[in-house]
Amino acid sequence: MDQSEFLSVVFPFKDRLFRMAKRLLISSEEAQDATQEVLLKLWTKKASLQTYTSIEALAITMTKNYCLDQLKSKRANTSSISSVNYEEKQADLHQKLEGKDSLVWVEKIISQLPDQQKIIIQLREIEQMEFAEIAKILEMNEAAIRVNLSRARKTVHENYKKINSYGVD
Amino acid sequence: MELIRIASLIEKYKQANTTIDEENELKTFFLSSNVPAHLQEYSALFGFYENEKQEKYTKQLLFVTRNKAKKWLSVAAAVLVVFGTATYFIRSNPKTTNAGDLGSYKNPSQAIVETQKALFMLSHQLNKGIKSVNYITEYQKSKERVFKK
Repeated sequence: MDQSEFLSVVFPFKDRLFRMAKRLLISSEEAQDATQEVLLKLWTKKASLQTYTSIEALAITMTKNYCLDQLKSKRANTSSISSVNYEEKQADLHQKLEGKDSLVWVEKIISQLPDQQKIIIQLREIEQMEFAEIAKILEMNEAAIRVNLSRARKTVHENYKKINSYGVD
Repeated sequence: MELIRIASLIEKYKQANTTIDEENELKTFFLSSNVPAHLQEYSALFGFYENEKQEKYTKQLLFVTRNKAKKWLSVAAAVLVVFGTATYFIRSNPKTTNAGDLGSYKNPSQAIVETQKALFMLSHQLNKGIKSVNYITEYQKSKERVFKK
């Protein structure tokens, strides 16, 4: 597999990897770095790529694992304060743009879900993947995915309703 | 009629039992303009999901692929450097000393002159070195001036 061939394989799902990374890491810069890192890792194992049934599923799994690792080391350090600040800043910035308010709230609510549910929301609601695919990526069975998704959907909906009726978080 | 169907789809959606097609049906409905007030919040949710879908990875896909020619070039350069230094040292160190010949003097008075010369040279170089380090005391002086004890 040469470079152009590799790029044509990777191209259709690179945005997906980035979106997944951003869902977990929140910051665009960090998500970009994570995507770049995963693509590089894929490139180094390009010789064995053909043996995988779905390179995309592999790539998403790698992205997920990479981001969770990043978060783990970040949460272990005390940098959580700075990441909270970052979120706040982001929200303010968005709120200045009129009409984006509701989107910001939804984003915020999702960012407060457990990582597992965030990933499932991302893959189902945004990427619209089938349960079978999600199950493969997360190495869980479909029933467990459905339970988690149902829980996440209810939480997102209820929290959004709450904010909407009181106006403030 | 449509609202009844939507309501039952929402229930299914909350249980995570809808198919992708059904979810798209919901999405189309909630992104349209005739959503009843009590279901408005779903428009925000589906609007967000649809919006997020558009996000793109804009960074260029760049890879550091060193091509083979470049790799060989660096190998050749390394070999050249090794051979260069090797030949330099071999040439500048001609083999003059035979085993047993340590370059000692037979005549004692000549030996003492040569030894003194060698020691003098050593101490001369040493003094030169010490002289050039003397200015370090200047730091001490100015330090004391700044931090008056």
